[in-house]
Amino acid sequence: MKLSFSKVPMYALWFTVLTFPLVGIRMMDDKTVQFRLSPLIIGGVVLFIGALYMGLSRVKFTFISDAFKGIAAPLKPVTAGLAKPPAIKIELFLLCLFLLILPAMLSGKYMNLAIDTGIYIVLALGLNIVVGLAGLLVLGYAGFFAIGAYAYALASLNFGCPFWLGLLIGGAVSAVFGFLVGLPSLRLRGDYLAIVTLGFGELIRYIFKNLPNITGGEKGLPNELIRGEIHHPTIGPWVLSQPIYYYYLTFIFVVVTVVVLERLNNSRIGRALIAVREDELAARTMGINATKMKILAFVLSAAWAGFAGVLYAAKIGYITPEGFRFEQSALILAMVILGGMGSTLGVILGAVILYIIPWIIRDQLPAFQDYRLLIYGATMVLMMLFRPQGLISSKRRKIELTETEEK
Amino acid sequence: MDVLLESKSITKQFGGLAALQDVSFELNKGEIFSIIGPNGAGKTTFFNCVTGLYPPTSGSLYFQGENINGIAPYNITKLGIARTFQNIRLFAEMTALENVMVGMHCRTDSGVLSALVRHKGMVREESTIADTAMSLLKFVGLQDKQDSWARNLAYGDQRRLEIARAMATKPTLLCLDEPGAGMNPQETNELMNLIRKIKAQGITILLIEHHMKVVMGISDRIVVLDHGVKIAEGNCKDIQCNQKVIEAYLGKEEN
Repeated sequence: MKLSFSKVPMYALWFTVLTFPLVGIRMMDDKTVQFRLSPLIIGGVVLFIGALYMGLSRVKFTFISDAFKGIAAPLKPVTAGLAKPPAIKIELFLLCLFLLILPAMLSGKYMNLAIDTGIYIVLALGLNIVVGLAGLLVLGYAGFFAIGAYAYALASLNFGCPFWLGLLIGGAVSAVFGFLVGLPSLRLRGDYLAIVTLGFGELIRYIFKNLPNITGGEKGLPNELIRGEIHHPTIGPWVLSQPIYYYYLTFIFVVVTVVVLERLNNSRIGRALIAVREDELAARTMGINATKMKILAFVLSAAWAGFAGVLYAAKIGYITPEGFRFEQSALILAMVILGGMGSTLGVILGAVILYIIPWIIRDQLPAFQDYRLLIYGATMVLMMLFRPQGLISSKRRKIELTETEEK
Repeated sequence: MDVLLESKSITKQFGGLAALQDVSFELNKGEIFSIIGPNGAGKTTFFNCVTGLYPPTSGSLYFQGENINGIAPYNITKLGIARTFQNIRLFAEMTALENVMVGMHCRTDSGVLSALVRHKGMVREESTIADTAMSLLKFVGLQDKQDSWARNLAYGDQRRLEIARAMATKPTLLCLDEPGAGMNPQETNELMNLIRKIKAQGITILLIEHHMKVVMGISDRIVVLDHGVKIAEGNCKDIQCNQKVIEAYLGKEEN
């Protein structure tokens, strides 16, 4: 999309006016109202300069994608016809090295942040299977996350299930739900599917909330009725309860997820999924069972949320239904879209940005706490205006967006 | 001659409109068989019935002696019927090579697990897929375009890519829906040669085409539809002299 410069001041003004009630008015503790214009003006000016800069320079963040291009190199298709031979780039190696020694530099809460970010990366990548690859809009992804977490928590508390078995159980239970939800709802398209999955996500939360005898209701798990501990992972006699173990566990998890996604992407199944996304009717006449493919994507994606849920439950040791709200679903979807649908690297970057920035605001800049969602929303609007393909677009998505504009 | 496809009084109704009415004919193995007729005659509807996209309202279709009514499109493809589309339906955001590779989906069977494990068999299968796809691109003359995005290809190239993609399903019967639409005379000649080459491989061809030069140049037999009704069947010469056909195309002479 080309930005016409005359509109830049309009955008800024529009933003300022629209956000006035949120930013400009503040209710004080003693119930008096204070009008504050400075943040509003600062916001408007920042937006104006930012818009002008991006429009003028046409830089549009390409420096980011250039810098990261190298990292995407390994795990290429197995066939030589499609791409250059795999080459593990130095950037990727350095990044991994950095991430491996990172825990030495991190203390308590930062460690926690790193682990949570990792879990969200896994979630965002899992959602990317169904959104990015198969092109199905799913708005209730937190539901599958919750199912995985609860499945493991229940198995662990009631039957003393160990983590590794729990990982399989969580993934499997979530996958079964993915299948059950997918079977009827994949007849629907686009918005309708999104609504059904949105309903599913909420439904799951309410079910967990309203079964106090089984899931502890709002009190969550474990509680005074269902006592015990959600087991930490163990390797032989070692209990991996320290954050540092979780850090490496999550790291391995992310790496495995990336490998799985890339391999899936460059396989017969991946091609079939993309074909179904591109043109379902043509895909069917080319011998692809489109429904089966879509359900497959759905089930895989659900299983991944289940895995992440198990990891999350084990790490945090205590889960409540409120941990799996629609906000989580929306956040994960935003990570996929902001990062770049279908692009593994983009989605990772999206997850990192969308998880860490709000955290920093919460933790370091409490003064901005009130504007957290506002900044979040404004970022989304700006992204859709200037870079709808996401921070790092997948090669296919790039084609779609650039070509249609020229026509 | 062996009958490959038999259409037994196929009728297809959309609400009150009969797009096809009692259409019967037999298609022999190895021939180029054309369906012609004015716009709206039901030619594409017939293709959609054959490829399983629409179930016929009544009547039966037999392919190699087997009734294919109600079989899902992807299974029909597996039985050996492939098609191209009148309004090109390539996978726009895939490369030319990938498009053809997708066509081989039903002739290969690596699943999710093999994709993740990448065992020897899967790697071998992938390279077979890529090689076969490449040779099909060569067959239709697109060997230089393997890495081009399908949507960036020239119009004529897109038509040929559709043919390559359909051929990748290893069909016994190839249904071409107006492959020559929008082509210039030179491209049309190339297309005729390509269709002859496909026939030479032993693939039977069912062709819908408006270019009379193509139809009359390569068809072994022709059936003419008008308003969903078969009005004539025969070789090129019979059709050209058929009074009903002339009327359908040009109108009745008033006297």
